[in-house]
Amino acid sequence: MTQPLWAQPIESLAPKLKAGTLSPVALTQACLDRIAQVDGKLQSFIHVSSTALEQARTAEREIKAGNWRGPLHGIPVGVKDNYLTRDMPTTAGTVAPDISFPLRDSAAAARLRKAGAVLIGKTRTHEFAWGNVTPPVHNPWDLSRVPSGSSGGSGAALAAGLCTAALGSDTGGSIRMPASVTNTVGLKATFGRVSRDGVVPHSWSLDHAGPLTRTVSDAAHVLNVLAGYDAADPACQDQPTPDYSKALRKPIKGLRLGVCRNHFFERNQPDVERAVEQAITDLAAQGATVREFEIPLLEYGLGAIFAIELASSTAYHDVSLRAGRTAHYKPDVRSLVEIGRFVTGPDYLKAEQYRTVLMEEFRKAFDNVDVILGPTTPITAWKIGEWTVDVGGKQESVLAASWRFTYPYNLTGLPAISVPCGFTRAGLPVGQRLSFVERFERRPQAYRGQTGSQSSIVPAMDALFGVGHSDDPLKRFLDELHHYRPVPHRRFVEDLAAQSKLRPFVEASGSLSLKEAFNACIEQVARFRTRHLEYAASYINKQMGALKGNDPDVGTGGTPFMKYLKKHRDENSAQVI
Amino acid sequence: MTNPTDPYRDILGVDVTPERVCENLAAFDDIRREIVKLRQLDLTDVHPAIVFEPTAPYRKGGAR
Repeated sequence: MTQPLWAQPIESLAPKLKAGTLSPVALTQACLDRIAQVDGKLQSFIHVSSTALEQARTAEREIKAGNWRGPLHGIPVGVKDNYLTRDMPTTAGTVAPDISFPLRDSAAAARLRKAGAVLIGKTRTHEFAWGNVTPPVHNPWDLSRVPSGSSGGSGAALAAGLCTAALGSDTGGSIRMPASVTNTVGLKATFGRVSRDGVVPHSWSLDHAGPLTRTVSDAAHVLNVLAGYDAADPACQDQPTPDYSKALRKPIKGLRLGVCRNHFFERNQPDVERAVEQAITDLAAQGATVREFEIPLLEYGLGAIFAIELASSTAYHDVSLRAGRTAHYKPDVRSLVEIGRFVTGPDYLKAEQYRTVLMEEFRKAFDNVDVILGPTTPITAWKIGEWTVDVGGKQESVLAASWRFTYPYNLTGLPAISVPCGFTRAGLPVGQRLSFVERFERRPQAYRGQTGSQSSIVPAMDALFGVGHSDDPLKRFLDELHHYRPVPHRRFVEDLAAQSKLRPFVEASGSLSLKEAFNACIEQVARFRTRHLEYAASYINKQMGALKGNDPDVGTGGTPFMKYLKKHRDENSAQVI
Repeated sequence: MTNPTDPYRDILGVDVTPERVCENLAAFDDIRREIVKLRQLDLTDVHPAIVFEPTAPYRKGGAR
């Protein structure tokens, strides 16, 4: 039986949209109809776009004209109400007076538009993305229960078929927790992978932007659009972005599956534990090697995330706090914003020190495993208005329990995804969390772009032609530079450098024409250095712009490199055979 | 007469009632216990996970 359009994932809709057998207008209309039918009960959208059908018609025209932009072209996406959008108001869930947000696109919204997505509306968030609930949103699996939070609007809307994908934000688990309790997929990529420009801040060093989707494949497609460098987000990493869909459907056999037995398995609701243990067994049966380990340091994590999150949030709301506007916040959010004042400076920095050692502990764990699997949350969706739940025979506050397994990945910045893991006996969804390492390469300060690529080619050319220099005090610097190059570029440079037997071959050949050709190449290397010097100087002057009296030697990897280039430029001519 | 909650009102920086200060302190109590636990760690030689990047202002305006 064919699923209705509103229930289908991107991976099945995109080929039909591309082929023209499905109209983006029909798909968007199906979602709008669904919103009209069920969102009165769910309350997942705070604003439905008045231009959704117009966006869909534009997508339809473009696809018909042969300009298919990719898998998100014509796909209706819900946008969490803490992402700025140029054509829909942003409230960040607050009704406090004198707080407003500009009508402009956040980086994520802009990227989605560029990919041809239809931004169908704004999904509800708990006020300023605080908390683990999203009032007044209901969970479509049981309307008497919460969709968790703070991206509960996105989770509920997606699960009920009101959009095909949605954006969420995650400071302590706010993408993954709603995904877990609504049977959807929630992905928090590595910190710095997705720009938070235009996302209302909550806690600068913990906030992540990312998608909620129906399938893992869909999450890869959305991340392909969202990921990438953006200078407007100071934390965004300037790194090459892989095609995440290429990593899909790889065999399980041989996968080193890590299971951290402390913290994540110490206290869970029985049905949650049963479902996740079954998943571990199933993966082992498919050839994964299960490796159990412990990270005792996790015991101190709650104090650390509270110190950072509370202090950061209070700093962000400081003006509102002093102006008395926080008195109009929701009671729980008001309390959290106020009590952030009680976090001391040393406590905040201790928490940041703790992050360093926790990151190192996870790095050690990832030396032996490819992925870490565990429950996304120890609990399933709880009743609206309930503040304590039974967890493993003990009454626990939902505030403490719900994010226990998610916040370690905000502290470490590691990527983590929540995927469906079956249902409890009562029919409530369970999520399992997978976390892994996406290996960023290191990036030096003030060393960027084309000048960097050119700089790194120079020593490779020297190696190729056997060009030596009187001294090479910057060898270490250049060795370090090696790690900063994009992968394809590095491969080229390494291949070039690997051919270093060229000079002796030419010398031994006795061929005059070969020697002439070789010497011409040496001259070209010298000219290359000159051109690179000019380019680098121009780049630096442009970057340093208004700074008068700036030394053009500064930049492109630091002062020493320019001097290195100048010194060695003229030595090349002496290297001819 | 000085109210014992006055120092906390000063920390809050907000003109709230002593009752509200007490509510906040009570709400903070569980969190405080977790932070006190964190203080037990000896992290003297550990650099915080914060990087000061003075070159950042000169890198603005990169492409999206």
